[in-house]
Amino acid sequence: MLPGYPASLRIALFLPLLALLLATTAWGQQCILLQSSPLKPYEEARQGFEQAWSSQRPLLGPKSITIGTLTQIMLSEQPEENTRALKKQLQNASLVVVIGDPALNFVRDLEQTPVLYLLAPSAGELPVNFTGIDMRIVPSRQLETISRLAPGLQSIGALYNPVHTGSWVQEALLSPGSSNQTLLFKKVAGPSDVPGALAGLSHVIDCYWLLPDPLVTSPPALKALQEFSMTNLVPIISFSERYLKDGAAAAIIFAMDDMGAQAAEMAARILAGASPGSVAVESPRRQRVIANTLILHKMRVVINEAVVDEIYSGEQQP
Amino acid sequence: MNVFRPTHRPRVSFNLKILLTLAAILIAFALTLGLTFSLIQRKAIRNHLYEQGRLMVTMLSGSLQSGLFFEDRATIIEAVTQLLSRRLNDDLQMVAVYNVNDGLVFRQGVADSGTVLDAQLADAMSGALAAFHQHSSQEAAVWEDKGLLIFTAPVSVAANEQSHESLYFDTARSDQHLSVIGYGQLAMSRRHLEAMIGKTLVQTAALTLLFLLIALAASFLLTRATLTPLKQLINSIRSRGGKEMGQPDEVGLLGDTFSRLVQDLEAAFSTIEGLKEGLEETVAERTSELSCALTELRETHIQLTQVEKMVAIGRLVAGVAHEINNTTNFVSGALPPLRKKITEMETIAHGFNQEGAESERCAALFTSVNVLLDNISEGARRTNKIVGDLKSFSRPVDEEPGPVDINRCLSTTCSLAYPQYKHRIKLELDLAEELPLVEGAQGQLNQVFMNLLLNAVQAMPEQGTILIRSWLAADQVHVLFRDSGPGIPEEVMNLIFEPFFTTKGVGKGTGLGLSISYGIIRKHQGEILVRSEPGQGTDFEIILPLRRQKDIVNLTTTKGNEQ
Repeated sequence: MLPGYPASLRIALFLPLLALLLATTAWGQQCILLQSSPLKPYEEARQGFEQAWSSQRPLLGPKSITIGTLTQIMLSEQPEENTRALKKQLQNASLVVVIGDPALNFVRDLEQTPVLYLLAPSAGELPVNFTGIDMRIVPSRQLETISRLAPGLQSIGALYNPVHTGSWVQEALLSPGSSNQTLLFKKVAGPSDVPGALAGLSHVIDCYWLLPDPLVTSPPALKALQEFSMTNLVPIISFSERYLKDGAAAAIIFAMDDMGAQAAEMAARILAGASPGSVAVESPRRQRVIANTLILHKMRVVINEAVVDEIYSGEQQP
Repeated sequence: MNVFRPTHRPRVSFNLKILLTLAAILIAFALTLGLTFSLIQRKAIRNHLYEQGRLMVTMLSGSLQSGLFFEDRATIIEAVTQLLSRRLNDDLQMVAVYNVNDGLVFRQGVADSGTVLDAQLADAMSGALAAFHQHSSQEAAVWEDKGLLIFTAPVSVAANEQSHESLYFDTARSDQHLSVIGYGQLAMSRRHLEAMIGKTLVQTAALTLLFLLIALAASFLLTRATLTPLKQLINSIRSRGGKEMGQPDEVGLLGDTFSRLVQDLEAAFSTIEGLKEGLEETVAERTSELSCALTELRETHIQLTQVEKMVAIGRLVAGVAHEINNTTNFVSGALPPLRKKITEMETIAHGFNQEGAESERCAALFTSVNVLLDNISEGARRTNKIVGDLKSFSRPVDEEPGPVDINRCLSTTCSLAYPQYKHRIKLELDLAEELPLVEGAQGQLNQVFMNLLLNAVQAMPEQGTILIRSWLAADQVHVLFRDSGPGIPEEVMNLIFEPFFTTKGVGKGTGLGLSISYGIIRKHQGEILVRSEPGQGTDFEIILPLRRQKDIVNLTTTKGNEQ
């Protein structure tokens, strides 16, 4: 091979060719990012994914080559008649990354194509070609964050429906955030139990912890919680920023951009050859604290502003 | 006595008519306005009540959300009690709360006495709820029953079946389903509504009446103030004899008077127009007369000037003739004694009986002396004749008219003027014998004849013939001057009698001769006729009446005939 050339030159020519050969696997990868809608959290997650995607490098081959082509599709903007073509496009992709429940529901019937999901609360049980990031911040981290945010809030209470958040409460009871925190949970089986349960928390707790329970987050229940909060000067700490406008004093939420970056890293692993089944479902790595300082101030709650990532002004778009 | 009097409708004054019309309009306007206002007020009160009822039932619905959702009767009762305690409306009779299955959860009346009336009210509210379901409305609705307004509104909350996505994120979707969890209902009586409407009607009627009274009073005052000048005008017309002949009102009288005035004005204008036309004619006539008078005055002035000149000349001539006559009388008077003395001397000479040459010479001398004496006598005779002619010709102009011998005048004129032209002009006199005397001024007539004769002579610068003829015809003396000159051009024929018109050269003629002659003949009520053709000579014919008629002056006709 290449007779007449010195060995060093032959090696110099051979190495780049070998690198290109190894990189062909990544070159042929096509990743489709299917976003449910242009909701603000979805957008933040997409941007985080995009930035991380562009900085990802193949695990094998030259580092100057991207891990694959990324095609972004907004599901809410697709016409109805384009569904089949879109499905076919998704089936032929190397990896499908879905953001949001609607996108996940759209790709649930994909059997072969690896699917990576994030910001999909309804994920539940999925086939082996599905993996992703769940919507769960472990209770201990949340309690710890509450403790760092407002050390004075030591007695924390919550209503829960065992059907939806029973396991969550059990986990929280088993792993409190700090030793000086007292947790008081009231079980509610239906709407009629809410007034009485709230009455039981009155004058007992310093802080109400809003759990992702549909019964407790229904509008009448929220209204009752708001009245309870105002009447007893008990701040509500929610799991989503959407409840800030309903009177919550602070929200401990996922860091959406970091969740996107986290998904990009998982995508890189899958595209590198790992099967989705071998990539475990992960929890969000980072959390953010948004505080409605106005409410906290009126309720005379002293907070550690260093913990607060964002001040809620009431004018933010969802 | 006329039993049947003409029946007249009672006359209504214009003032009253306007007042009645305005009153009718105002009443109609006030009634319309009042009625419209009442209807609007009634509708507004009704709408207000409806809106109030809807608002109250909506508030009730909102306040029932927690109670119905949490199935907390205490909260429901508290919400109803709070609503009733606020006494938002006096007509509020009863409040009822139903669950989603139309089951009555709670009901409370304002004066809950448990009477039959309350039972009927409860039945009506149940009926209203059933009717509400038939319309399947999601908003507050009103049901009208006998004397009742029943407002029903659903109590809704967000559906429990929230998506997981909306649990975490504010999706802001409009398709979030609401779940009806019950119904709130209010019953309101119409008693206060009717009372308010009645009160509004009474107030409107009172306001309308007040407006009407004020408007009528203002109309009356305005009408009176406006029509005062009209009244004064009508009174003025009446005082000036305006006749009221069945006019419906004062305006009719005014209209009739105006029409009559217009007619009078038209008649006056017509008269003025006629007068204007007549005046123009009169002015034209007077102007013509004045023009004629001016012409006559000019001619008179010229004549007077000429007359004065002639008078002066006449006096001069008369004086000269008198002196010449005196001198000639010496000659004439001396001639007979001279002739006698010479005859004696001839006799004496014959007595000496001389013979020979001396005797012949003496005879010849006496013969020559006799011839000279004859010549002197003839000269004296001629001088006397000339003096006589001069005296005759230079009669005073202002002489009183008297019998004039025309032939003698002609002879005198010819004897005075012709001799200097006899070498080139042949004069033919054809004078009628026994021509009667004409009444006139001899001097003026002589002047006329002299002018005509000199004109004829001057018309013929070379040789020529002048014929002067006189004759009597129809008690008028005709005198003809005919020359054999070149004639008068046709274009100047009408101008020859105009003053200062002349065809002679500058300084040779004044243009007054024929004009003066025309004036003199006209004063004698006579005529001057001119006949001329180019190259055929000219005839001037003077026609003089024998007697002048002092009262008849027809200058126009005379002149017209001449032309």
